[in-house]
Amino acid sequence: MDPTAELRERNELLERIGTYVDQHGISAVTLETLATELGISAGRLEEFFHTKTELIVALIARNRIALRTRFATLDASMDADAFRRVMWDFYVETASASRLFFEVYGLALADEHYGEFLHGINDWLGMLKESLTRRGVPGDRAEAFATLTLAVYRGMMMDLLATGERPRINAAMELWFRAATALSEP
Amino acid sequence: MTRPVDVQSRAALLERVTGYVLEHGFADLSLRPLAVAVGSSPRMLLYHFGSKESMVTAVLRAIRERQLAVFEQLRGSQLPTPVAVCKAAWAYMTQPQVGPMLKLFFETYALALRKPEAFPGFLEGAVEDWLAFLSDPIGNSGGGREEARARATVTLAMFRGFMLDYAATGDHERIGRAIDLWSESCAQQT
Repeated sequence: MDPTAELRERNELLERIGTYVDQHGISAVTLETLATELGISAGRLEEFFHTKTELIVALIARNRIALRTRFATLDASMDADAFRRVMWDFYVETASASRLFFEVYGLALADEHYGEFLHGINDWLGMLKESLTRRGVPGDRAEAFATLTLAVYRGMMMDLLATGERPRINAAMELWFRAATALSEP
Repeated sequence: MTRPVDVQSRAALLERVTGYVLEHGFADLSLRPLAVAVGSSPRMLLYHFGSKESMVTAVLRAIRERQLAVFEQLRGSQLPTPVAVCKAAWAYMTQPQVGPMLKLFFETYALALRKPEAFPGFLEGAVEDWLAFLSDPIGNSGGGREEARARATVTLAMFRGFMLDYAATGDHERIGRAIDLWSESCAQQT
């Protein structure tokens, strides 16, 4: 099989696996049930993903790429406040990706097989920092600001997924946007 | 009616079960290895707790009570501002002996998002207890109840995000600087 077709099949599988995991959660997933669900043999599935861990890591990587792509596209074209708002909208739109993130995070704290996931947990802290530096925030402050931003987005998503209380969370985000604007000023 | 000696031994057992869960988590909890570890038997566990589900509920309640006791303690020390509260909570949460509780918290949070009915009261407690605690000192600085809750929501989100970062990276220094930056921004507002 030529490599392009192979890659396409992998991506298609990953897409469908994402939908399945989104509905059922990761603890319920086994390679066998997943193969049945996808209508392929367990052997074929294992050619793409040797273990469940590998599969979950691939799903997370796919979500990370989506986030980073969105980030890079928007960052270049918007002012800081609009950008913060659009990123928040993106988080809310892709709430299931956050849920998967928290699920894998929970597993990773207990299971060293997911070590790779924990290492990559702040991989877009660098992008965030760079973006802030470009917008005139001094270097040392930019890292702290990026850490703060990431904490707020993640914490708000934890709250939203648990309570679904949009009005309270929206009001809180408005406070954050205001604070972030004040922090950006030299 | 339960005899007093039963109440006592149930409390002692709950203490040990809670210790075990803090170490091993809820994800693969099964009665047999748990019973061995706490020096009991599956039959005794079921006798005292009724079912595995109600045992989980009892453990969650025990952990929540510990948390509320910490809040009481922090409140008792009359911390004046959200920043002071956040810094005190940060100092408390980064103690090595709190590590297992933190891990268990995030693990349970994820499981409960998927299956809330298996962890009764957990998500409500994880958000509401904290909002109630945090909006108390913040409410003192003026503004209505909604405003106080919105502020508490930001503080909680930040704090939770910091703890998530910390449990994964252990980067005390970087996160500490982020907390300082936020303190600065709070000071500007008032």
